[in-house]
Order: sequence, then structure tokens, then C-alpha cells
Amino acid sequence: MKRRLSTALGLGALLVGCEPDVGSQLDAAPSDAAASADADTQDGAAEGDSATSDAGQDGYAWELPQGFPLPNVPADNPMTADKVELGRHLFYDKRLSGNGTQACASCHKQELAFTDGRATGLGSTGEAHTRGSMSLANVAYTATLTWANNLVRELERQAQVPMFGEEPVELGLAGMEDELLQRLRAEPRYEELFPAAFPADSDPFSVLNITRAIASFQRTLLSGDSPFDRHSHGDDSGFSDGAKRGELLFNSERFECFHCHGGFALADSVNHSGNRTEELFHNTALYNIDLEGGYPPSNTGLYELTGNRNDMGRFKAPTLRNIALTAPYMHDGSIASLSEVLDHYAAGGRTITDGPYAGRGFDNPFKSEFLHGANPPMTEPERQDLIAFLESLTDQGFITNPKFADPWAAK
Amino acid sequence: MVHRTLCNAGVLALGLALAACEDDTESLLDASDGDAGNDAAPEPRAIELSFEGRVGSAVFDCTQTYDQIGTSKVRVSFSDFRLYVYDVRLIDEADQEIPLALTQDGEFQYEDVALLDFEDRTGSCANGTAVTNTLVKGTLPAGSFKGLRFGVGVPSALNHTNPPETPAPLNLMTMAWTWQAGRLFTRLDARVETDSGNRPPFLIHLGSDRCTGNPGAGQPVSCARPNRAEVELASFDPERDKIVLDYAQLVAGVALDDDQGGESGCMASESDPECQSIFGRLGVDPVSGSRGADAQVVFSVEPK
Repeated sequence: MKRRLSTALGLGALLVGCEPDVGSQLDAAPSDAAASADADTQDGAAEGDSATSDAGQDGYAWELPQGFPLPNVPADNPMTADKVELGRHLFYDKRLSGNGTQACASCHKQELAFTDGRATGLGSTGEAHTRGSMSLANVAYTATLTWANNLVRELERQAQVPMFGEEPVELGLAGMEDELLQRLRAEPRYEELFPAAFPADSDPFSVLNITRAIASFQRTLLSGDSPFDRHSHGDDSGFSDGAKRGELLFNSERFECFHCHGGFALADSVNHSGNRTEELFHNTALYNIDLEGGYPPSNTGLYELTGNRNDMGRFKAPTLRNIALTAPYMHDGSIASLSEVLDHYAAGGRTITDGPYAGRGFDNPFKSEFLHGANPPMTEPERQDLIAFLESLTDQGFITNPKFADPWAAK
Repeated sequence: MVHRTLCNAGVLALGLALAACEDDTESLLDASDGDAGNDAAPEPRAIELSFEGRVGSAVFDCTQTYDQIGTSKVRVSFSDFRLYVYDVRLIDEADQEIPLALTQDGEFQYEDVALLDFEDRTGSCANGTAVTNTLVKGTLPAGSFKGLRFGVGVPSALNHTNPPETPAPLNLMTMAWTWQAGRLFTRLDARVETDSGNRPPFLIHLGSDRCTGNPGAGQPVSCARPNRAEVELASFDPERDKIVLDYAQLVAGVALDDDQGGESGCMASESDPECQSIFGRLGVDPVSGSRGADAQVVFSVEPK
């Protein structure tokens, strides 16, 4: 009894944040906190289909690409332009690593659609991650975050993983909360940015507000103006005949790409206003160690969280937007080029002939039903057409948009 | 008594929650003070439980090294030595469990959770905090007590809260298990030396795993493997005795310089060979993560 009551009061009040009417917020807090995500989803149903740019939520002027629905935003962290601007500064600020060598942007570079070009990430202390840095394009819509995690689904909390995580060390801030805040307080620009972003807070410098601002900036990283998008809206000027043929192959039951990489997000596990979120993870037959479906022990996918054998090797289907910019591919960067990725999928699995990870992925008992292999096999012209289609997903405006760029670079 | 306890917890939670806001804090606190002043209830008894971190016979110290640890008799020093305990109960003469209402101190105790922090950021303890805490403080009805029980960990209702939104001591990011959306119940991090040089650090990070739910939406999270230890000390006098936590006992069944798989040390995984022994010595079944067949052997009672 005691625990329940004080939990509801303490956490509820903190979650809701501090706005004028303290008394009524406390009363409403438990139900608000519990219902926020669902409420967002259901209340927004009517708006979902007709969303266009500048459709407002909490008064925020989204710059939504044509055809994109409104993102869901946590009720306790509504979007504001000031928060986004603070978040952009923090995203590019190397003071957010323990040793001052890395920022979020070190592994999420705009010119590479917010990836880093490496097979797997490299942390601030030189420790290698087991997985590659994911693109942040349209991350506002991803139902689950990172490659395979069914628990951390808000950008605000996900930001804690690179900041404070130690398995592996990424930004390396564990045990340095106070020093981090001291560093930020000492920056003249933040003297204005933090209070502007969090005007209700008597002291806006906090780990919580850092994560909220970064999440707000990340939600603005919208990519939806590629030649493929313009083609979808009737403008084929940048969409080659090869890309058109590739699009048909992409959407065919022979190649099956669209099942996991369809829709506006070009990913299957999306969360936005008006939809019923599906959380999907897939085994794509990259490995089959010991013929029992095993994946390398450091990279078992959703199995790492659930311990359910059926989850072995299951990862999220990442967005294909800007995919030509984000090599190397797969969760562990183990395929160098799009051409080889196509070989893998067209074959219905990868065979590794020797070494500790040897095995015939095609026979992985946990693999997705769509990894059946193309029949008849992919031809060389088909490969070229599919590559042309994948290259049409590159959004030049996204990777050059000054609103997403490093605010510290200019001065 | 129950009423008073409830009010105290509520007032402190409110006070913390409202600290960042400006208005009306005073009146809320005043109203609750009035309740607490109800003198019809018997005076509670204040209790302080003393804990001592130990490595074998030596008291834990960030500046010391300890020899002959684990099955391979290695030398260790420490980079961290912290753990959460919760649900502290004293056993009265009638074998009844009487919950200790923890003092809500805004630093080491929140609701029914306390952080035991033996490291002081000196010596090899690089990432900790200068302050330490070896006491669990609270109140319970006057009476005579003969034993003690408590859990090691953070209870489910608090475990998945967002650390920067939760009062101390649950806001320590170093004790957060970020990608599991939970807390590290223990952070017992050893540096390992052998005659042939330094070995990888041996880290004991226990926490609940195999969890499902959506903590961000405030929905309940449930974990198939809770991985919380239950400690029972049948003969314990809070006035005369202290509770000893012996790291050497915890790792007595493992070779710290010869990790057999998984993470170096034990990060709660059921497939980690070192967790088999470490869980067992905490009285936790290494597969289910629930209470095991044998009692824990890591905590014991000694005269103060």
C-alpha cells in the first residue's frame, strides 16, 4: 500500500512535469502516465491519413514530407522549436563523452544518413560495438529502437544507452553526471538554450532534459524527398527506367523485399499517430552455427533479451531510406555492398564455409519465411535494376539540410 | 502507525517531485505535517542497520588489494562496490515479519529501497561517488526482534522507472541497466591480478532480465528472471550486530582470472558459467532467477 501510493505520487508528478496547476496534475498523474502512448495512438486516428507538412501537434510546426503521418511524441516531452535547437547542439557536442572525443554525431554523421560507414561502431574509449550504428532517418517512427530491443522504445531512454552504457562503452559518461552538467553550464550558448527549451524548470540543466532535447531533435530527422518519393507523387524525372523495373522486383513475391521494407518508412515496425504498432523482428539467415540456428554469441538479436530460442538471430528490419549511403550492411556490417546483400537475399541465406561461424544460413530453422530464395534465380540485369531502385531512395535534401547540421561548425 | 508511515513516504515523494516547481509546495507539506503530528499512535522505534563490506577477513577499502580470492587465488582490487537492498523486515519473537519503514532521506533511501555504497571514489574506485552509505535507517513499532530479512535488488514497481525521473538513490546512471530498462542490483567490480599480469576486470552486475513491457509508456514491465536474492539472518540483534557482506564468499566458486564464457564476471545471464556459482551463493536459482534450493552464504551476522 505504502509503496503503491508513494510511487504514484512521486513518479507521476515527475513524469508529467511541472506546469501551473500542481494539485490537479498530481491527481491525474497515474492515469496520464499509464495511458500516454495508447492515447496518442488512438486520439490521432482521424489525422493519420491526411497528414501534410506543418500539421500541428501541441502547436509544433512539423515539416512532414508529403504522405508522412504525424509521429507519436511522449506526452511528457512535447516538441518545441527551442528543444529541437538545444538537442541539435547537444547531438553535436563532444562534451557528451567522458573523454571529450565523441558526440552522438561521431557515429551518426549527416552525410552518411546518420550512420558512420563502419561495420560496427567504435566507442570513445576505443571499444568496438558488436553492431553497426543505425541510420536515424525517420527514427521518430520506429516502433522499437536499436537493432533488437523490445524494452527501450522511447528515444529519451534510448539516449541513456550510448551516454552511460558500459557494455560496450560508447560515449563513456558512466559516473560522470555531475561533470557533464558542469561542462554544459560553462558553455555560453547553453546559458540561453537550456532555459529556452525548458522554461518551467528553475534549473534546466539535467540529464533528463539532455535526453529530452536530443530526442526532440532526433524526431525532426525526417527523410522523405528521394527520387523514389517524387516518383510516388507523380514526378518521374529523377527515377530511371532501371529503378522502375527494380521497384517491380522489390515488390514481387519472388524477391519479397517489400514485406519487411514497405510503407512510407520502408520498414515494417512503425509507430505513428493513428496506427496499430506492430513490433517485428526477423532472422535473415545470415548464420547457422552448429546447424541449430545459432548466431555468433555476441550478436544473438532479440534472443539476448528474451532468452527464447525462437528469437535467435532476430533483428529489426532497418529502414532502407538512404541505404546506398549506409554501407556496410546488416546488424554486424558483415556484408560490404548492396550487390552482395542482394546475393544473400536472393539465395535465401548465407553460407559460411569455415571458421567459428561456419554454417549454411539457408537451413537456419528460425529464418524468416520470406528468405526462400528467388526462383528462378536473380539475373544480372535484375541485380542492376534492384540496385538502381535502392539508389533512388537517397534523399539529398536530408543529408544536406542545414537544420540537421553541426551548429558548432560555423563559428 | 501505518497511517504515519504512509504520510511520511508520501510527503517526501511529493517534496522531491515538487522541488523543481514553484507553487504550493508549502501548503502541501504543511497539511501533511499536521497528520504526522497525530500523537495517538505509539512512538516508533528508530533502527539503524549497520552493513560492512568485506573481502574475506579484511574490511572493503578502495585503496586496498586483496589476495587469495576465488578458486584460482588471485589478487583483486575494486573499481566499484555498491548494491541495492529492499523490503527490510525484522523478525519479532513471535516469528512475525515487521517491515522497517525506511527514512526517506533523499539520498540513499527511497520508498523501501536503500543503496549500500561502500566505495568512496578513492584508490581504484574511479567511477563512484565520494559519499558512502553503510547504514539502513528506519522506524518500526517498539518491540523485541531476533532476526532480519531483506532482499537484494530493486522491487519490480521501481526497477523500470526512468532513472533521471526517479528520486535518489534510483537516479544513479551508473547503477542503471539502460538497455534492459532496469537497474543493476549489484555493482561489484573487481580488477584482477595474477603473477603473469592484469586480467580482464571481473564484474558482478545482477539485475532482472527476460523482461517484457513498455516502460516508456508507464505500463508494467514483467521479468521472467527477477534475479533478486532473499537474505535471511535468523539471529540478529540490531543494537549489537552488524551485517557483513563478504565478496570472497560471493566468488568462492569461480576463477576470476579464467572466465569460462559470456561477460567477464556475471551480468545475470543464465548462460554465463560464472553466474551459476554466483547466483547459487546468493541463494538464487541460476536458471529461473527465483529463490534457489540453498540459502545464501554471502551475508552473515557479526557483533558490531
